[in-house]
Amino acid sequence: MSTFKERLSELLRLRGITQRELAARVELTEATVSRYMSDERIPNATILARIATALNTSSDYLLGNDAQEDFNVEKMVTLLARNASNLTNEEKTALIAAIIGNK
Amino acid sequence: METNENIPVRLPDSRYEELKASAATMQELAGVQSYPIDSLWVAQKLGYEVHTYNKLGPEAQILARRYSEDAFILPCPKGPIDVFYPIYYNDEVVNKPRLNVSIMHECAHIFLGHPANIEMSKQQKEVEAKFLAKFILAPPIICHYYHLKDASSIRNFFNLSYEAAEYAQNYYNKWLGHSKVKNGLIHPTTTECRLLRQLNIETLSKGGIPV
Repeated sequence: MSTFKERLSELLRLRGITQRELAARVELTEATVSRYMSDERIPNATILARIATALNTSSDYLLGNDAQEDFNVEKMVTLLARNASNLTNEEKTALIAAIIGNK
Repeated sequence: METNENIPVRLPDSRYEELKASAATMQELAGVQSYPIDSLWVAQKLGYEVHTYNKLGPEAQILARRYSEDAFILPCPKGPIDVFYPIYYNDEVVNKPRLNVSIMHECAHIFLGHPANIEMSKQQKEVEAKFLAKFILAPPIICHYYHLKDASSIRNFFNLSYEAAEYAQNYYNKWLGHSKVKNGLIHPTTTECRLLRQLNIETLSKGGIPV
């Protein structure tokens, strides 16, 4: 299993983003990003989520969990940001399925 | 963490300062140099994927409109690494100023990393995105600089909905009450200086902005 620093490094390369650009986007200093890439320090959940979102990936992936297959509709429902009560969880599931399936 | 989703969250003051700084960063990264701010333009400048409801299939359109009249984000995994965070918005909304606030609200969620944050409560995410969106669209320092003191002039200048303009006016009044005044001048904070600098307004050389 690869480590956080390896995955971060790989994603920056894949996305063509520099450490400086990432630092600007997640409001960290370049030195902090550099530290993440050179030692085993892992950022807190909020920073991790910002890095994940900025790099179009998940926090799980950055942490070395190869669990994208677990990224199912149920998990997507929990990640829907809006705390709307006008749709039930079943309807949110149907919405996601309809968007993914383009129904 | 278990939270009662019905109780409004009041964030620590330090968090509001961080959100204001995030608004300044968003503005700088997007290259906003004037008002009103077009949220769709900002989304595109920040590299966010945006889609309209009417490009969805019929079943999805019905559910999307029920889920949110204006806009939402749907985290979409596409392979072992990629998760995209596209914004879906309803381009048939008649009240465009309200839609503009809603799209900025979704941009704020993405910018703050909310979709990938499983530890923060949904309630806190909503409070943060709401604050950031309303702050960036009508910062009180800009209201003051351009002498926008009533809801009507704020609404016209920033192209806001009535509701957002009233919020902005109330927030401006609170801001005015808490601003540091010396020798008849308001001294902008570091974040406010960043917002002004984006508009090429230098205030420090003049020592501040008249009250």
